[in-house]
Parts: sequence; C-alpha cells; structure tokens
Amino acid sequence: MRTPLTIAWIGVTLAAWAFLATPAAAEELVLWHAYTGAEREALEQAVERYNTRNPGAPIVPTALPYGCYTNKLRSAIPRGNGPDLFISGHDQIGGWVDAGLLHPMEPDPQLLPQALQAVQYGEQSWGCPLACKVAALYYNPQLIDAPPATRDEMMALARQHTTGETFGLAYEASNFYYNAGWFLGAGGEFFGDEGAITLDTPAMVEMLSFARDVVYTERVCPEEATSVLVAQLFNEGRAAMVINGPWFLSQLDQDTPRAVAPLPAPAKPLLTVETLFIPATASDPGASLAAAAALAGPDYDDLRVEVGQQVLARPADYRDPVLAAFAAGVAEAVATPSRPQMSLMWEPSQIAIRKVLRGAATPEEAAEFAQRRAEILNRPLPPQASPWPTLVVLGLLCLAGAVWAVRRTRGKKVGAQMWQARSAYAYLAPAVVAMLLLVVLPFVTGSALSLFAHRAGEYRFVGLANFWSILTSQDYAITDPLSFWFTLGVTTLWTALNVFFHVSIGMALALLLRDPWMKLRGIYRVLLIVPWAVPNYITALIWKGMFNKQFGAINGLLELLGLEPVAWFSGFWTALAANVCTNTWLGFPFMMVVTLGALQSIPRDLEEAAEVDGASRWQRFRHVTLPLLRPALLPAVVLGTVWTFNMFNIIYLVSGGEPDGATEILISEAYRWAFTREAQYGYAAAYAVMIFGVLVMYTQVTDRLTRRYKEV
Amino acid sequence: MANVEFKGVVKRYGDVEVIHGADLSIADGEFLVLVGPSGCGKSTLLRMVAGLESVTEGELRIGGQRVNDVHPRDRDVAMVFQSYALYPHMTVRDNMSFGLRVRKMPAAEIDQRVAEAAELMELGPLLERLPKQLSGGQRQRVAMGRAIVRRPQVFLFDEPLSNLDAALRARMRVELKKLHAELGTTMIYVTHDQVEAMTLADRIAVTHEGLLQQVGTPAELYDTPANVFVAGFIGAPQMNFLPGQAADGQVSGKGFALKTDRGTASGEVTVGIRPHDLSLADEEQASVLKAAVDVIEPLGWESHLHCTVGGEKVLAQVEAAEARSIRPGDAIRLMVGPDVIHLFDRKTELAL
Repeated sequence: MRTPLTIAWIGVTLAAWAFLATPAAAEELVLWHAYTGAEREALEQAVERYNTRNPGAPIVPTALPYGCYTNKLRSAIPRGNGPDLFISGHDQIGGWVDAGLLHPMEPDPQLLPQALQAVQYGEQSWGCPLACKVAALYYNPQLIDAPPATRDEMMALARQHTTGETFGLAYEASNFYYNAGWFLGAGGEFFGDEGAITLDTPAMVEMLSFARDVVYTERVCPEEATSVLVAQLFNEGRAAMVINGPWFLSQLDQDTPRAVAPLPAPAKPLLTVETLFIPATASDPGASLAAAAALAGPDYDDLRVEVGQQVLARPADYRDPVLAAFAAGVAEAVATPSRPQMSLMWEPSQIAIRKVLRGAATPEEAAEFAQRRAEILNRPLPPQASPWPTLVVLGLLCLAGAVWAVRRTRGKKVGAQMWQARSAYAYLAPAVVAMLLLVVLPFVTGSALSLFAHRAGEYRFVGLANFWSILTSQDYAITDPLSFWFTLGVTTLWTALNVFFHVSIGMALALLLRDPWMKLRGIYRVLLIVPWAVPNYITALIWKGMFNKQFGAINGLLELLGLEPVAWFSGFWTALAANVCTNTWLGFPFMMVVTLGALQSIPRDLEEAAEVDGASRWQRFRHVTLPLLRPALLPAVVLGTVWTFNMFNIIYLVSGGEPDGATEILISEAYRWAFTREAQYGYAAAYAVMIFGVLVMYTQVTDRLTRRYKEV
Repeated sequence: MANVEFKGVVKRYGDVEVIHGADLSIADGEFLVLVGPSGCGKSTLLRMVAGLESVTEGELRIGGQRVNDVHPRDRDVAMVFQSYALYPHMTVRDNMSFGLRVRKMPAAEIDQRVAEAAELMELGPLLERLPKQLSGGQRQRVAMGRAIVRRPQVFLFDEPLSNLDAALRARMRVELKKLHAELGTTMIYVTHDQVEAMTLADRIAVTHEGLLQQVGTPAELYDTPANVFVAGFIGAPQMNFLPGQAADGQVSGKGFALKTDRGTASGEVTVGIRPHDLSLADEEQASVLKAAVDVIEPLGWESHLHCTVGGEKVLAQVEAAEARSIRPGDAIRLMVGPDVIHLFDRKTELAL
C-alpha cells in the first residue's frame, strides 16, 4: 500500500521539478511575434536567411496569437520567461519603459523621421523600426477614375456614388482609429504641454462633425458599419471607397477591383510602427542587439517588401502601386503617441463619436464629454497608504483563527489522528494542491491586489482607497454609467430579466414536450437543446449581426411588418433588450433540461388526482406541479443567476456596453478597468472583490430559501 | 348520488382496441367491483368514468347525463388511487381540502367537511402532518378522506388496498364496507383480488381481455359462473377442471365417471368441480373420481389433497379427520354431489 504511494509522490515531484526548471538554451535567440499570413512568411524567410549567415547564434521565431500577445509579454518579461527579441507595434513603448520591460537600443539614423520619433520615449530610443502601417483610401477603379486629392473631392465622389443600393464611402465610422486622420489633420493633439489631455479642441469638433456628416447628414456611409460589413460591401462592388488599413487587403476577394490612395488632404493618419524590441530580461542583450540591428537592416528589406507586402520604415521607392500609396500616406502620418495615457484616449473618443453618430450629442458636447471622461480615467492614483493597519487587522484575524483552531482541537490527539488517517490525506493531496493553486492562490492574489493601485508598472499600496472610490462613486456622478451603483443596478436588472425568461420559457417548453401525444417530441427536444450546444460567442456574433440597424434580420422583419426599423444599440432599453434576447436564446435550454428531469420525478397520478379534484390546468400547475418542481429548480436558478451575473461574453460581443457604456455589467466593467483603461489592475480587482461579495450575499439568501423548501 | 351506465363503450389507443364494447349499468348506491387479471381493461373502465381517459366509441352516462365530453372537474366523482397520489408538499388538512379550495368553497364549510371526514376516518390528530410523516395505512385513510370531503355522486377506487400488508388490508376491507353502508353512495371499485371482490361487492363485473365476462352478485358468480374464465377466477382455491364427455345425465373421462343433474348436456365438455365439493367416497359409491395422492397439506380443521386424476391435477378440500389415514402415493376415491358439478362447452367455454 505504502510503496506505490511513495513512488507516485516521487514521480509527481520529479515531474513538477522538470516542469518548473527552465531549460537554459545557450546560443539560440527566441523571437516572439504575432504576425500571420504574408508578414509571417516574410519574417520566417528573413530569419532563415539570417540563420544561414549566422549559424552560431540562430534565431528561433515563435508566433503567438494576437489576442493575448501584449498580456503575454507583460506577464512573461518581468519574470524572466520572456523572449530574447520580440516584434510589436510601437504604441506601447511608454508603458513598457515605465514598467522597466525594455532594453534601450540605437536605431539606424537613416530611417524615416516619423519612425525614429515613434520609437523614442523620453531621451532614449527603444527599438528598431521594421515597417509602417497607416490607414488609406481604397477605391474601386471601375467606379472612380482618379482618387480624390482633398476631402471635399472625396465627399463629392461619395455623394455621386451613393444610391439606394450602393455607398460612396464605407468605413467603420464609429471607430476612432479611422477618423483620427481628420483629428490630427485639423491640428489636433492628444496631449498638450506637460501631458495634459486635450480632446476638447476645435480639431476634435471638426472630426466629429465630419463623421456626423458622412453617416448622419449625408448618409453616404452605412450606419453601424463593422469591418466585416465594409469588406462585404467592397467585395460586392457596393462601396466605391473604403477607409481601412493594410490588413484590409487580406479581406478582399481575389477578383475584387481595388486601388489604394493616401487619405485625401488634410488627413494625417495615425502611424503604427512595427518594431523589433529587446526585453530588459533578455539572457544575452549583446547578442540580441546585434541580431536586431541585422534583422532590421536593409539586407532584409526585399523580403519585407516582396513577400510581406510591408511599407518599410526607411525611404524607398515601390514598384507596387499599393505599397507606394501606403508609403505616401506614411509620409503624412503622425506616430501614435506612445505614452501610457494614450490607451485611455480610445474609449472616450469612441463614445464621443458614437454619441454624435446616433444624434445624441452635438460635436461640441461630445468633445467636451470625451475630455471629461478621459480626465476621469486618467485621475491621479490614490495616495500611498500605510500598510500597517491592514497588516494589524490581518494579523489579528490570523491570531483569532489560530485561537479558534486550538480551542476546537484541545484535548484531542490531532497529530495522532492525522497520522492514522495518513493514506486518506495522501489521496486528498492532489485535489488539495490543485484547489490551492487554481482557486485559493488566485483568489488571495486578486483580493490582495485590490488594496493596490497600479499604473505603468508601478504598484502602490493604497489600502481600501479603491473600495472607497468605487462605493462613493468618487470621480463621477452616481448616475454615470461608470458608477459602480449604476452598473450594479444594470447587472441586477440584466440578471433578473434573464433568469425570469430562462425559467419561464424553459419550463413552458418542458411542460409542452412532456405531453405524450406530441409527435416527434424527441426531435423537438434535440432541436431545443441546440442553442445550448453552440459555442456562445458564435451565437452572440450571429445575434449582433441580426440586430444591425441597416442590414440585420430583425429590422428586416420589422420592415416587412410595416414597422420602423430600430437602432438597437442607440438606446439603453433596446440595447438591453438585444442582450437579453441573445442570452435568453442561450439560457432557456438549460432550464428546460432541468425542468424535464424534475418532471420525470413527479408521478403523473398527482396531476390526475388534482384533475379529478376539480383543479383547472392553471391550478394544477400552480398548486401541484410548480411546488414539486421547486426543490429541483431552485439550485438551477441560483446557478443560472451566478452565470448570468458574470456573463461577460454576451455583453462584450453583442452590445459592447453601448450606448456609452450604459449596458456594461460589473464583470465587463472590471474587464475595461483592467485591460482598456491603462491597466488599472487594483481598481479592477476591487471590482472583482465587490462582485464576489454580492454573489456571496445572494447565495446566502437563496441557501436559506432552499433549506426551507427542502423540508418538503 | 347517481347511477352509472356504459353503453357499447369502446376504447382504442391508435390501432389497439383495449375495451371491446362494454355494456354495464350500475345502480344508484350500488357497490360494484370490477375484477380481473392485470391488463384486462378494468382500470381503463374506471378511468373513463373519472374522465382521465376519453371514450372512443359508445356512451357513458352518470346520473342519466351523457359525460363523454365532460371535463373531470364537472363530473362530480372522486377517485382514490392505488399510490394514494397525496400531494407531498401539503399537510393532511390541505390534501383533504384541496378539491374544495379549488372550487372556491367558503372556508367555514371546508373546515366543517374536513372535520367530519377526519372524524369518520380517524384522522383528527394527523391533520397537520405531511404525507411522508404517515404510515401506509394512514396515507390510505387520508386518500379516502380526501374523496369523502368532496361528497361526490360516485366514488372510484383503483386498487386502493394493494399497497397494504395482508392484515391491514383485511381490516380496511371491513372499514370500506362500513363506509359504504354509512354513506350509501355509488362506488366503483377496481381490484385484481377476487377475495376483495367477493367480500365488498353488491355486484361484481368480471373483466377479461377487454370484455365483460359476467356481471352478478358474488353468490351468482360463485354458484353459476357463465364460463370457464369466471369459474376459474372466482373462488379460492381455484375450481378443478377435467376434460370429459357428457351424455344421459352422466359425465365421464379419464379416471372418473360422475352423475350430474345437468341432464341435457352432451358431447365434449369441461367438467368443473370446486375443491370444497369433493369428499372421500366409500367403497360402494359408483359415481367417483379415482385419484392418486401427490401431496397432503394439513391446515388444521381441513386438509388439502393434491391429487392426479387421469393425468389432470385435482385439489380436494376434505376434513382433516377423514384425511388422517391417507398417505402420499395412496390411490383414493373422491365423490361429488350431482348438483354441484359445473359443465362447460369444451369449444366455447360457456356454461351448459
């Protein structure tokens, strides 16, 4: 008995050792990137060429998924698990440098001045620019002979090519990135002197006015356009012009006629510079530096241009007219500011555009809103607090726990008992270890994090300041969608509506499906469970498309019935309704299955007895079936409530918080604080702790209710 | 109170016909027992009266009113289920009053009726308990109480005693009979147990394979069964059957030659003799069965002799004193009175 256990333990320990010990690869240089398609091909060919020339220290390229790339870098590099080199956009430099993640480097002075400026932060340069990306104007050469040179010409062309079926100009008008060219072109800047946010400027008003004109006044651009819709319209020849980045090429069909021109004057598009970086924790910075300089050098430009279809970061002539057009755009472009506060600019500007596009605010009001929102998000960190009170409280708690444990075990031979049951503990150990690692440790870390404030790599102990700020709605009105109480209200409403519809629809269907006279009920049952079986993000995206104002199936149906189409995501109630619809579609099958199961355990003759007793259909349900279903349904309702309360996917994918973040729920709001608002992890952790608290209270209440019904 | 009438009632599930045209008239205040082996359709007949099964063809009348399409709640019948079907989440009081509450009866009247029924069924101290806190017999009484408070025109019982142990069942039989005497309401009672049927019924309807075989008082069914099935089903121990030929007031077969009063019968017959009617014959008796004793079961004041007559099993109930000298393997002679021999046509199985 004991021998196999011992062997198992040794095996587990050895495996853990092998897993934790990082193999020290001496000569190889690991290069991380998130390239796909042609760009990846170009990079891999470049690495191959480099490796044949430098067989002593080969580069090993590793492609990571784009979605998790920056988080992976942020978590791996400080722990020394990062690569020796990595490629990324330059716009994160500020945050990384402030967090001490980068090794300084000296780029080739021959590069484009915009590119050189882009990789500079403070007094230093921090990367070797490889390629440049800007938005440009795609047009259909069969419809448009010569691209417009000015914005006015573009608008004239757009008007000319807008008919009932086609659009003169299709772009994601609600996306700030594609509008930024007009903002910068009108002399707009994100930051004034000493880093003050400057969104409330005439340039912002002009940009917002233009977006409004295009979509709202002139209607030359489809409303609620998504990148998929834009690509579809252009491929079908129903869009004469499109504003998009170089990645748009990969979305075009082979035979779609296309031509590219720089954005018309006075646009100054935002420039992103693909850059080669060296992490501060690179194992051999000297080798990394040499490799980076070589790989970014002119010897590999042919691959970047010919294979990767990239615009170089150095002056060059391009035979390909598409690349030449992008290069011309780069010449006018302004590098995206790389200071960490830049990540706060997107959300306010985006909300401002959307407010204007749906006619909820004038450009002036929206610009003012964006300024105010950006200042709230950029508010100073709470002051450093003394950790002593917290430590004392923690110490007292530990002491109380110890005293309690000693009292409980006094007079019992705990040690001897444990030794007696040692094989039981050995069996329990793997589960305990897993629980500690997967549940307890993250929980403790998250709770501890809520006592800190984080920005740009700096953690500052602030005690309960985050909670205080959240609970008192310190920086914004309690009715603002940013407020915890507002979001809690929305979350409660969202959960209550969902659970109500899940249970009532699920139960109704279960009662219908139970009737033995129903033909094909096996087939119905399977069909009704299908929504549950489809991955929920797919369902969410399908519903999102169905709620599109101009092209969605639901408005199509309304129009067939002679009703006005609804702009679903422009109003709070309609957006909430869209979310609830989607989640109800996903949620009722579970309740149906639970009810069907519970119905099996209710003897049929109880209902027959009630029928003979003279109860109507409703009375039988109300007084006999429902009370007997309750014990089985209550746990399902509790479970469904917790799931719905934290149903991030649907909110994020369907309404995305529209309008103006009003339909965010607590969990998606916490996500925004952590990942789209300059990594305010402490604040987000405090949100998570609050969510935990709310759910604990809820389960306490329902537990008491359940216990009462268990009596039956 | 009301009479119940089946007129050519047929029940089909899809293509399967389970009741092949039942004609039955149950008088007002009568206690009628539907009896038969399982699957014979007796429960279906009862559930049709309750309105839980539809009538495919024919006519069903309660109190003279055609009820084929009347909803159960409007038929004014009460039913006691085999499982009792007590609502598990309601107290005894709530169970009993449920049928009155859903009909919006005034609370005072409900209380009074529940109190009366509780007294009748001796449920007073149990009124606030839940069904799971009761014994099987108590639950059974609650189920009856629930039917009684309704004061229906007809009581329907679907094997109400079969979940009880033998002793309790015997006691409940007596109580049921008392109840019927007190209430005087029409009762239709389904069982597969012929003892229950015999002891309770004013009249019995024997059902087999979806057909009513015979309807009559217990004595009629016992004394003059209409066919082999009824003869075999009613009476315990079961009647003995022997193949034989009849002619001139005489029936004979392998191992027996008996005189009978049924002088008109002739040809191939099945001879039916109840074990109780057999006794040991003396030497000079000519009208006898020659039997070989296989097993003897002494039961105190009587003994059961399991014998073989011409290859057929025959059971004889004789006084213990007479059987004392008999041993297994003995050849004995059994006699039977000519007036108690039952004769059935071999082909049609009908009584002659």
